[in-house]
Amino acid sequence: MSFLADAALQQRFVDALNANEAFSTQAAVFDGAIQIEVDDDCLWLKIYKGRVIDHQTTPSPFGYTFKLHGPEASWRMLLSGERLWADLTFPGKRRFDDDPRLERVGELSADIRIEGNLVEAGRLTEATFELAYTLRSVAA
Amino acid sequence: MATPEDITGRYINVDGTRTFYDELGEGRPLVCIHTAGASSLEYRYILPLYAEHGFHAYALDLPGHSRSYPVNWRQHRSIHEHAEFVYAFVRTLGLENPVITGCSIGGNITLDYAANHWREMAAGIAMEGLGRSPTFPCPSHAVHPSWAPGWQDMMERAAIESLGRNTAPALVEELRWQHRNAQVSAVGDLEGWSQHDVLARLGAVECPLMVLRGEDDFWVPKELVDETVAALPKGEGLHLPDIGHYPMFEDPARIADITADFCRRHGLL
Repeated sequence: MSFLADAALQQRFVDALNANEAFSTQAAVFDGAIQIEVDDDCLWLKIYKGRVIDHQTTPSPFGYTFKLHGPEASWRMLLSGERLWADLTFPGKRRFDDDPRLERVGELSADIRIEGNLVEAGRLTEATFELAYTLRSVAA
Repeated sequence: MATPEDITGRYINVDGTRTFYDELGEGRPLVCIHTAGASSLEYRYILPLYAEHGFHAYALDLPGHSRSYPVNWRQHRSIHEHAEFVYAFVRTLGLENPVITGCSIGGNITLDYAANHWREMAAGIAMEGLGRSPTFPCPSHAVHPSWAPGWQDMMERAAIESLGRNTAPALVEELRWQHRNAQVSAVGDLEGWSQHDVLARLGAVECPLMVLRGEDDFWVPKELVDETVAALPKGEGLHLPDIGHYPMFEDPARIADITADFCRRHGLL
């Protein structure tokens, strides 16, 4: 199980998001759900007018607007501060420790992927950055 | 000692396009090129320092950015278009053997300029630039706000998160505001970045050329900088700790010194 499976952390995270004025402002015009996936663990967040009004650890039958998913190793780089959210989520191969001959230049992989309604995900860019760094603050 | 308030702003017609540039100093011409979606404001702190070192510094707004109109009311979508415009700017001003410097797309523009016009430039300093740079997805999907309503925030976050980790909050906010003037042109800039490749042509560049990278800059891999330097007959690479994607803005004194030292070592100052 990953760090996301910790129920206490989940609650701290939801409480911190609802106390984050920047997140609430940026998500003020949103009626949807963001799902976070770390390995096989899931946290579904129902968000309405800037507040998390419900959450659960199984996928909701209502689905999600968009999800943020990746292996725990990638999420841990966010939590530790080793890498920033833009670096983890904007596609593009920018590290070549595993490719010293530079044969994979131009690949468009991302360590943490955003999938689903990408128009909404893009519109909620600032909210998502706030969400990521709020998670980092409670998981530290 | 000059200050940013001594900078003079001027307009010039470059092949029919009204173009704005900042200017300060006397001596060796130094043409400064800004980053994607930004403007000559990125050079406001360093222009006086360049002048102090004996440069006549020019920082233009690329077409479609800040106070420069776009060419034929259409944004440039390639690094080469930008580079040829800078070349036209240099010729319009009558600058002889300028040093060309730029950051990010400006760094790429410096390299494209050198690939095509190295005989007419004294040297180049490419900051956060590469011979090839497919390190960011081509953002053509964002060219219309209706297609990508979050583009402004994406662009701003891409910028500020790549600053040096210890950049003062006030500078982070200033840089963010510097990226609030050219969202449409920024799409074209980054289309250019994602498709830029002059690596195979750098072997013919005989002028001195430095490729400088901040180690906190995650957009520009060290390996691709080293690849670029290796392709240049007179290339010199420099990796700076505690600096991100905007060296001339983050640490203008250090960058001005590096630029001047590089030029002196090559007999240009």
